[in-house]
Amino acid sequence: MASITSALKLRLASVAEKLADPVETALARLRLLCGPSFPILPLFTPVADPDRVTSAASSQRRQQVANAGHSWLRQYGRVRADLGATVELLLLAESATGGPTGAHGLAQLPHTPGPWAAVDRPPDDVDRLSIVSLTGPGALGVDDEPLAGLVIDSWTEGIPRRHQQTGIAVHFDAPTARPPQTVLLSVVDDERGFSADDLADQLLHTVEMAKLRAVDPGALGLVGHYLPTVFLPEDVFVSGEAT
Amino acid sequence: MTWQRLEGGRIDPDLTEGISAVIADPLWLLARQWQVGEFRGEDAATPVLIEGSAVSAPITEYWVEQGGRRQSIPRGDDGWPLETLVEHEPIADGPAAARVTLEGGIELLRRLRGAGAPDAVLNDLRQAYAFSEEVDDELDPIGHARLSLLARRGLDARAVAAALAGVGGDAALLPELAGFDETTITRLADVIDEWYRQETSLFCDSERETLSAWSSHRLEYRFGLSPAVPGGTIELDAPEYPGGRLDWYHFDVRSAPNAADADEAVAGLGRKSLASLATPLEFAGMPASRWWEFEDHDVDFGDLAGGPDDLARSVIATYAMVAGDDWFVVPCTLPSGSLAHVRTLRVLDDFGQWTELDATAARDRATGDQPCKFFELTGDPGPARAEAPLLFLPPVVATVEQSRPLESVEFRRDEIANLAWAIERRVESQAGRPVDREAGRSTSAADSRDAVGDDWRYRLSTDVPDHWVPLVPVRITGTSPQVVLRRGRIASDGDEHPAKGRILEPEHPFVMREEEIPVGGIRVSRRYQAARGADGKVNVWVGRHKAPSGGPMRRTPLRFDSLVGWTRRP
Repeated sequence: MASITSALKLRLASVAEKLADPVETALARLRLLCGPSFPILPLFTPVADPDRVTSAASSQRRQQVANAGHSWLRQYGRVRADLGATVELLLLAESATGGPTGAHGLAQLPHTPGPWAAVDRPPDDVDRLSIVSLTGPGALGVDDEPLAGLVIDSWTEGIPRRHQQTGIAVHFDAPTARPPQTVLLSVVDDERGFSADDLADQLLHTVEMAKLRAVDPGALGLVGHYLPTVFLPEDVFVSGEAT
Repeated sequence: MTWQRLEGGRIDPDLTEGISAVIADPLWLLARQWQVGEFRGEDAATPVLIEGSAVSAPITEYWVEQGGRRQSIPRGDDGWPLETLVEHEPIADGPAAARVTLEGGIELLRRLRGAGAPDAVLNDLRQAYAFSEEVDDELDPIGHARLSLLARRGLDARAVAAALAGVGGDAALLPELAGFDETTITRLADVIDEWYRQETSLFCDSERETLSAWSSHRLEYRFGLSPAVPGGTIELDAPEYPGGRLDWYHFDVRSAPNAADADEAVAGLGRKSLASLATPLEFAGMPASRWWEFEDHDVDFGDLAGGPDDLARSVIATYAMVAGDDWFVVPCTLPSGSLAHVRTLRVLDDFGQWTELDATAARDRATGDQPCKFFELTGDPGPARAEAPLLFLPPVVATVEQSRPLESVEFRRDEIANLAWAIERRVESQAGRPVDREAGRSTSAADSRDAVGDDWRYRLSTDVPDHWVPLVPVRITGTSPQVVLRRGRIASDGDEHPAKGRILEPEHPFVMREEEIPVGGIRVSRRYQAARGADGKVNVWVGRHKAPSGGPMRRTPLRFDSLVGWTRRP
């Protein structure tokens, strides 16, 4: 019960928060009036990005989009449904009105001079982001000013490499021995000093100890009946009766 | 008196503690290493350096065999991607030719207007190259209205291109530009030239129509590539490419030159020498090679789902576990679009000894064992000559954007009517729009007959929708038991041909192999595809794709001797 009340409270709070936002309130009212699928574009302020602004303003980008932009839109309009509908609309509007439908804008991030990565191979392997605006470069060059817009389509594409990385697998029977996971600190007699024999003895002794460390009563055979010789009176585990 | 004895036990039937590798005192760490054999001395050496050489042969030729006739074109480095080359078909001369040429016309006007062309030029061009073709395929009223709109305000790009060809490709000589001053003419001529250049490279549909790799008998592509190697060319045959994405496994080696002098000079043959430190090979899910080592979470032996009879899987899994750390890898960068193989390989171990290595495939062949093959081209002659197997890197696309199908034909078996049906679900209209033939079907006369308020009616045969094209089995020869499927027609169809798309090739007889239609049926579609080439250029083409269809046919549209409107009375 308590959880339902708290969930309801949360939900109410989120609705109240939305209603407190004048944009959301206005949108909700407009949607009520015109239906949920009616496109309403509220104003937003884009994140300041000097790279985008410079790129959109660069004469090279303007030149590129003026030259190849429309052909590129026509090419991808054939394969991308949403873009295709928009390009079709532009084409019909252009032939119905007999006038141009405006220039396109282009920004490419990160902003470095060079080819437009959507139609030419960039000189390096860095990923590029191209933003094409159908209503001219104005919107892309805006920083800190309110804008309204519609994202028509977005997609990712890859350019095949001219060279491919392959590998030759080689089978070679390498030793499977691995270094021990323990550091053995060897302490020597001050008077006698180090000797190779001592070291070898210590090493072998350690290995012997390590082997013994893994011994289990089952491995002891008959001796296992007597070893280890840790015998306790029966009542040692009976709690509260320790005498 | 009884006693209790305290025992240390290290064997637990639960195994959990053992597998989780709980650490303890240093002696325990050593004991576990000793138990799993990490202290065992072996008569082996650690590889240090791997050296070798490889050759890569460029693809020099692309060929297609149709009806026993072979046609080929040379292939350079920076051509279209292979999928484009194989699949492309006419667009500017395709079903939507009118749409493409009108669109091109609008584009020309737009560019000229943008360059400040005087209205007189635009009007002259519109008049001189007006679109005059009668367009109406009755399929697509909306598309027809759009085409009329484009035709009213636009011009015929094909006519402009023809006029350009007429004046030797020099746009400044077009009669519509005459009478203006020199600078205007030059400026506008540049615009027209640029328009022409972009318009002709808009789609990959150049006049290579004669090299169509599509086989309508089999409803798939068949083509080949020939890389040049010393002594001749190796012929790589792709006999059954259903469209979509190409990869090395679509190719078989059909013929190869006899072993020639491998050092012979061949144009474009890349020789590569390799030298690399011996780097252990790693694969996803590879177990760690030490006991005391954090293992990747991808290592999951419990996830190896395989039954007791799944021998191949258990062999691979066991081998990867036991011998996975005896493999080393030498990186080798090769050009895309080449056929490569390793010439020599030798390993230097830490005792300073060089060991020459042969290819496993060649060694298996030499010892008479069953060769172990995983990723080899079928028909590879290399191993029989004690050479390493070939590695083919086809020059394919990286990513493809695909449109919805422009045309889609379903091929289905109808065992009851003893026919196969080719159902034209969608066709491309002249306006370039996919039109659903099912939805566009007008109510036929038969349906209105049924609406009469009679109790029931006897029908000799049912009416079949227009877009269901029957494929009739016919014998290859008079006596042969083997049959092929030939496109037929239902008697009541009238004169007009029921097939309207490109896949069923209405312009000439259509015969296909009977075995190509499985019980579940297949679907062949044509669609626009876009992909970037290695040069970064955008390639847009129309290609076909064959895919399985929805399952066996439940109800045949063609029935004989039926009663319509019959209700069983009590």
